[in-house]
Amino acid sequence: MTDAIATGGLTKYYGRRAVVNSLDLRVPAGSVYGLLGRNGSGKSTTIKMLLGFVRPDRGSAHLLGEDVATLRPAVRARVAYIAEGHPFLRWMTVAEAIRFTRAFYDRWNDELLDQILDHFALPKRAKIRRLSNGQRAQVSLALAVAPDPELLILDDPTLGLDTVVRRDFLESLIQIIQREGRTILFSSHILADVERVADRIGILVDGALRVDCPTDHFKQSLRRIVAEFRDQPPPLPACDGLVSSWRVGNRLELVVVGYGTRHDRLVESLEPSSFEVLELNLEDAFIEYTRGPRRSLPLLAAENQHDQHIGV
Amino acid sequence: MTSTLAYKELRENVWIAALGLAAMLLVALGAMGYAPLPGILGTARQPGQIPFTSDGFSYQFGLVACGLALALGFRQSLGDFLGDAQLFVLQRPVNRGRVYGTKLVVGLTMYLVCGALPIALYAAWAATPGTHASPFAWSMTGGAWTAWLAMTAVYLGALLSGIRPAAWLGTRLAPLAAAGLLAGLLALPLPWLAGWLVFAVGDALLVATIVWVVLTRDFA
Repeated sequence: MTDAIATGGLTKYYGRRAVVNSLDLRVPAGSVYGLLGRNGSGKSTTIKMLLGFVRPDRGSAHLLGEDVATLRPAVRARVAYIAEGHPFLRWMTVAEAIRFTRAFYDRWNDELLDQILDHFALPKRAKIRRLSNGQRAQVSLALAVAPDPELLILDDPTLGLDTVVRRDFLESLIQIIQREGRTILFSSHILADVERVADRIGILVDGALRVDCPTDHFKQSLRRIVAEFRDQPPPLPACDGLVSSWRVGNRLELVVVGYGTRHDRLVESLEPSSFEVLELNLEDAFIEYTRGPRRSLPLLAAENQHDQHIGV
Repeated sequence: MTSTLAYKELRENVWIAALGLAAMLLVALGAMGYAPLPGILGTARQPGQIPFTSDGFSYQFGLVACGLALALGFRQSLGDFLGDAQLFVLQRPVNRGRVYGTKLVVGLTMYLVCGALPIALYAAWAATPGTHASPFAWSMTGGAWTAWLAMTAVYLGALLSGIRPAAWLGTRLAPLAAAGLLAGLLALPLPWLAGWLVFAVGDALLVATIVWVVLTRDFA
């Protein structure tokens, strides 16, 4: 399978800080890839480098097989982008935004565009500046899809949308995905959205890609182990795949990646009075993986934490 | 697609050009003896004043043209950064050079046309026999045309200051300061051809810098 997006050692510094650090990202053609990360983890900078808005300090990026640094307009026309916050020229009406956008593309699907506008009940005469955030997102989606792109890059497209609009937006996105051969890369803070649509995820932590695997694999490989002790839990020995661990009273909680019998044996060796292994949903898994050593304020229970962080 | 980009620039900035043109026409009308807003824009023509030579037209025109050049330059550059609007344009399959080249050509054309009309109107009035009791030769309009050309540097400096990323306001305004110094050469008694040459070279340097900034800067 060819890659719709491929980066090699992609790096960007702002000042002395590497906001994206040696990123090797591959998005197979036809896949839906969810790019996750906390605020400031480098998602938007990565996307802007892919689209040529930001120049990398090191490394390379290829879209649809062509180097981004020398991307021809003909190839660029096969890539659609929905920017965070859905920027528009706000003086335009929806019809003017359509006319403006259509002028840049040889391929343009008026029928699909009208279907999407009708579905969302968006009048073409409406001024963009009078539309709600959700309606602007819908116009963005319609304009992105109308040129029939092979690759869609969406930067946190559901940010700021209410639950109903977000669901509508995602349902439409799923229908668009079902069109043959289309590749989608989208970043999001809303894990449930990613879980719904992405078949592969990447997690950026401080600009580095720490996870890159199928969504189901990520969910299945992370477990929370909760062990109860009669007294204070003993010190935890070194352990492969340990994402974090912390103590609350006589309880020891571990989050491990690549869960297996070795983790069970490790916990049994500590001689707990009981222990259980819990599955994590994607949101919990993501939080455990990216939260770092800081946890919620221990106002109600004294926490004795000693987090450790590892890579997959 | 260039015509689409040009329409966008016209649509966004025509009101500034219209205001500038109206202000410069008031200055020209004042010089012709029809000052609708005396004391605000344009002064009523005094008897014995010689058009373009002893009526202060070039100075007043230069001030208003400077205002128009600043407004156009900053509106065209900073306006696109409000709400990340530039991403709506830059994501299209067109290179940055064409986007900003169109912006520059449209902005400069708007300034040049709006500036040229009042000078041409006043010159046509001055060249019409019976309108004033003083001699007139077309070469007398040289000072006004030089002021008109000098303010192109202010437009380019404002555009460059708006486009160029810089953390500190003083650094950001450096191109405008340089353009202001260039336009300040108006005060020197240069022969008009030498003046035009200086402004043409200065403008070419500013345009080259704009192209370099546009092609190399990040739009984060």
